[in-house]
Amino acid sequence: MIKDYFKVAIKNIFNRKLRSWLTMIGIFIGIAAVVALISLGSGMQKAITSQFGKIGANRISISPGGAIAGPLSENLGSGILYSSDVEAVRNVKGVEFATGPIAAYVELEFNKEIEYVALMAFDDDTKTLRYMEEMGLAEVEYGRQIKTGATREVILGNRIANDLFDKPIQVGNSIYVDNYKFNVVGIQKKSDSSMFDTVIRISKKTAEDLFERENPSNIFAKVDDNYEPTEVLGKLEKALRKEHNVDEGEEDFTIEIAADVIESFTRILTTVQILVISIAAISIVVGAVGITNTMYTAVLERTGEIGIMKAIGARNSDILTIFLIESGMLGLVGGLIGIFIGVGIGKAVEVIAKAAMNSNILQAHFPWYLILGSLLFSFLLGAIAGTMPAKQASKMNPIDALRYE
Amino acid sequence: MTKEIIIELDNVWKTYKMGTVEVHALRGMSLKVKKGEFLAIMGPSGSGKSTAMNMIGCLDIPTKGEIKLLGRDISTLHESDLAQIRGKKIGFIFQKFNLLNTLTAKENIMLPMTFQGIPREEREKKSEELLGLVELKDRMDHRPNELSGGQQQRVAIARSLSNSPDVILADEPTGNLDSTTGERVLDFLKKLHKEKGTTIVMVTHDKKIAEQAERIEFLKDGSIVKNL
Amino acid sequence: MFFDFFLIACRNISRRRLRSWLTMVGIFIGIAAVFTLVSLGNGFEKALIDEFEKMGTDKLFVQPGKGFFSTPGSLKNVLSDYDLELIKKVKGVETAAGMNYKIARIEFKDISKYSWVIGISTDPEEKKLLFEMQNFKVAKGRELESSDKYKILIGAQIAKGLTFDKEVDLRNTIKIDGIDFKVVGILESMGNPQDDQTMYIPLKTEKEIFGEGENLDYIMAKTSFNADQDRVAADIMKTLRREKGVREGDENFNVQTSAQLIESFNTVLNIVTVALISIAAISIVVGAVGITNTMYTAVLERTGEIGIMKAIGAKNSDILTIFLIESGILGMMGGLIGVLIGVGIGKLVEVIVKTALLIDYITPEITVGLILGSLAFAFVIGAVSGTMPARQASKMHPVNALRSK
Repeated sequence: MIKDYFKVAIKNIFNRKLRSWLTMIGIFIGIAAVVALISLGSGMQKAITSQFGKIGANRISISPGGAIAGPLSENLGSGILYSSDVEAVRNVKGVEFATGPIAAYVELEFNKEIEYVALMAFDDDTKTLRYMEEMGLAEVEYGRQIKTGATREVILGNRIANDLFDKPIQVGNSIYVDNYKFNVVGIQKKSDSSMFDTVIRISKKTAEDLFERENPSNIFAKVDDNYEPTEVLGKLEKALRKEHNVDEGEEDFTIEIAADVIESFTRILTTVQILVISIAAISIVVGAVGITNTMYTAVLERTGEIGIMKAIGARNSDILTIFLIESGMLGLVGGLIGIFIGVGIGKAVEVIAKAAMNSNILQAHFPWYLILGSLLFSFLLGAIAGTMPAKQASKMNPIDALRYE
Repeated sequence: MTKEIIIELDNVWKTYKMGTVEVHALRGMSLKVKKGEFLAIMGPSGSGKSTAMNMIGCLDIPTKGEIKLLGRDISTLHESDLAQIRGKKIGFIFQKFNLLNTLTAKENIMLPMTFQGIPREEREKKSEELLGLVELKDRMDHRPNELSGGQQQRVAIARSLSNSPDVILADEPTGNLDSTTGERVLDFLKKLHKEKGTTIVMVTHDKKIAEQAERIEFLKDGSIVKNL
Repeated sequence: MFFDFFLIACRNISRRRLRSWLTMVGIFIGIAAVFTLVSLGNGFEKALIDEFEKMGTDKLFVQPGKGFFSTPGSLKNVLSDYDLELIKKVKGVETAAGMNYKIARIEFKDISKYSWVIGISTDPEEKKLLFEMQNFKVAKGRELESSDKYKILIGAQIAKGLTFDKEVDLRNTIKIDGIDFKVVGILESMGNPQDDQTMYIPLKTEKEIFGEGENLDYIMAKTSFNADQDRVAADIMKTLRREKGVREGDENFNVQTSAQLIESFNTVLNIVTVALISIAAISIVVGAVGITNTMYTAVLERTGEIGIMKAIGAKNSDILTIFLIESGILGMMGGLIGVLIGVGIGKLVEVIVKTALLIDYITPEITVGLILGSLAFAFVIGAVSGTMPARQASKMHPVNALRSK
C-alpha cells in the first residue's frame, strides 16, 4: 500500500514540475552548503588528528612557564627549563625516552638575502632521530640526515628551501645561520603543516657551541607502553618540582599529554565548525518553510481530489500518509541533489586550496554516515515541513472538499 | 450624412492548430459595424461566435484577412498597441462578468482608466458617475462576491463605459442571469444605445435576446449567412 | 498609477495570507541573519577604529619581525634602548617610548597564575605617551612614578577578582616570580579581558627581574604636528637599518603607521565578516527561490484575472509591473520583519558577549543606512525573484488567459 502511495506522490510531484523543482532547489542549496562545510570541517579535523596522531598519545611535552601564548613563544615565559631537567625526566620511572631540543629565532642568509626563521636543534643520536621520524618531523626528501657528530650541517624545511628565497636552496649549497656558515645536507619532505616546513634543523651540540645556548625550549618525552601516561605525568611533575625547588601549585613549567593538546585543538575547530554550519543551516530552515508553502498550495489545489478520495473510502490517515510521503519525497530528492552538489563543492575547495595555499589541510572527507545521514535528514525534514498541510488535508470534511470548485 | 463605419471585418480567417489537425474557427467572415448601431451577432454554439468576438475586440489577430477599426488596420499591430486600442476604443461585457474579486465595485470601474494613466480624481469622479448610471451608487464599496449576478453585470457595464469607448462588445451578457435580471441588463444596454448613441455589438445564441437589437447578423460555421 | 498597482498587489498578498506569510518567513530569516552579522561586523570595526582614534592618528609603532600579526614579545633582542634614543632623534618624531612583554607567574594570597606582565616606562614624557596610546586611565590610586621600583598597576578585572577569584585592592601585595610588588593603582576597564587582566610594572624593574638587558619589545612614537606619517616611518626604518647594518628588505623589524594598523585589522575583519555573511546569504537565495515559487503559483491561479485585465486595456508592461510590485512587497515585508529580528538578535549577542565573555567591543552598529539598505535590498530581491513569473504573466495571450477561467 505504501508503495502505491509513493507512486501517487511521485506522480503529483511531476504534475507540477516547475514548482516542485523550485521547492527542491530551496532544499538542495542548503543541504549542499552544509554537506560541503561538514566534509571540509571533518576533513580538516582528520588531517590535524592524523598529524598529532603521529605524535601519539603516549607523548608528553614539557614547556617552560605557563604556556598561555601558544607555541613558538618560548622567549615570552619567565620560566626556564634547564639541561639538567632533561636528565631528571629521563630518570623518572616509565619514561622510555626524553629529549630537550633548543629552539631559537635566527637570521638566515643565502645568496645575499636575509630572512628570519625558527631553528630547532635536536640531539644527533639515532634514538632521537627515530623519535622525530615517528613524529613525522624528520623525513628528508633530498639529501640525508645530519651525521652524528657533524658540526656545520643543516637541514631545511621544505618551504624554506623552495619558497622563502628568490632562488631555491639545494642540497650542497652553503647558507649562513647567524653569520656562521653551514652546509645544507638535506631538505625535509613537505609535511601537513606549515609549521614544520618553516624551520631549519641543526644538531644540538652545534647550537650549544656556536650560539651559546644550552637550555632546552621544550622537553619531549615518550612513555613506556607498559606504563599509564597520566601516572607517569604525575611522577614527572613531582620530579621537576623537586628539580626547580618549587611547591605544588607554583610550578614554572607546564606538562601536557599529546592527547590533551589534540583535544583542545579539536575543541576550537569544532566550535568554529558549529558556528559556521549553524549559519549555513539557516538556509535549510528556509528551504523547509518553502516545502510547507508548496504543500499548502498543493492541498488547496487538490481539495476536490481529496474529496473524491474520501468519497471512495480513503481514511484520514491515508490522506495524511499520501501528503507526508509527497513532502518527504520533495525533501529527499532535494537532499540527493544537494549531496551531489555538496560533494562537488567540497572537492573543488580542496583542489583550489591545494593549488592556492600549498597545503593539504583542507581535505573534503565524505564518510558514509554523512551521505546517508543527510539523505535521511532531508526526507525527515520534508515530512516534518509537510506535517501541517497534510494534517489540514486529512481533516477536510469530504462534502466540503467535493463541493470546492 | 452616411454613418461612419467603426469596425470592418474583411474575409477574416482564424485557424487553430489542435495537435496535427487544423480547425478553422472563422472562414472568411465579413462584417461592417456602423457608428451608433446596436448589432446582434447570433449563432449556435461552435459557430465561431467567441472567435468573432475576440477579433472584433482586438483580443486576437486573424490568420488571414483584414480587420479595420476606425479605418485603421489592426491585424498587423503589436500586443501593446492592441492593448491601448482595447483600453480606449472598446468596452467589454462578459457572460461571466469577469470582475476582479479583490477590488471593490468602484475600483473595478476605475481599473481601465488606471491603465490609461488617467489621474485619480478624474477616475473617482467618472466611476461614481457611472455607478449612478447603473443605479449601484450605494454598492460602490462592495466586493463582487457581495453583489448579486445582475448587480455584478451592471458593474461590468459601468466598467465597459469607463473610457468612453467607441463600441461596446457584449458576449452573452445575460447568459449567466435569470430572465428578469437578464431583461433588466438588456434594458440598460438599450437605454445606453438610445440615450447616448453608444455603438453596441452583442453576441448571443438566444433569438429572443438578439431580437432586442436593431440589426441581426447570423453566424454559421465561421462566416456570416443570410439566416439560420 | 503606481500607487494603484501597489494597492492591487497588497490586496492579492493579503488574499492568500498563509502562503504570503510562509514566503515572507523565508526571506526574513535570511535578512535577519545577514543584518545581524553586518551590524555586528560594522560595530566591531567601529569599536576598533574608535580605539585607534583614541590612540591618535599621529602614532607610529616599531616592532620586531617582518609582519604585523606576531605575538608581542616573542622576538627578543631586536630592538634596544639605543634604538629608542635614535628614534627620538628622527626628524618629525616628537616623542617615543618603549614597552616590554612577559608572561610570568603571578601570585596573590596563595593563588598563582600565569599572566601577562608589561613593563612600561616611568619617565614622565614617555609615560604620558604610553598612557595616551594605550588609553590607560587610572581609576583608583596613582600612576607609576620614576622613583617606583616594586610597584604595580593592575587592570580593572584583576581588581574585581576575575583573575585570582579574590578582589585586589590598593596596597595589596602581588608576587611576580616570587618578588613582592605593591599595588599603587587600578586602571579603568578597557573593555576586554586581555587588557583588563594585565599588570603593569616599571620598565626598569621588568628588565631587571627578567634579565632583559637593553631589549625593548615594542617602541611607540608620536609624530610632531603636521609631519608626514609615511615619511617619518620611512626615516625610522632607514635610521634603524643604518644602525644595524642591514639592507632594505632584510630588516627584522617594521614600522607601522596608525592608518596601516587600522587597515591590517580591517582586512582580517572583513575577510571573516564576508565569509560568514556569504554563508548566511545562502538562506536569502533560498528565500528568493521561495518567492519565485509563490509568484509562479500566483500567476497560475490568476491567469483568468490576467486575461480580464488585458481585455480592459492592460498592456504587457502593466501586468509585469503589477506582479513585480507584488513580489517586491513580499520581499520588503520579509525584509522589514527580518530587520526587526536582526536588531533583536544583535542586541542579544551584545548582552551575552558582554556578560559572558566580558568583551565590550561587540556592539551592533545599527544605522539608518543599514536599515534602509536592507529594506531596499529585500525589495529588489523580491522583485528580481518575481521577474520570471511576472514575465510569464505579462506575455500570456489574452484569449488563452480568459479561456482558462
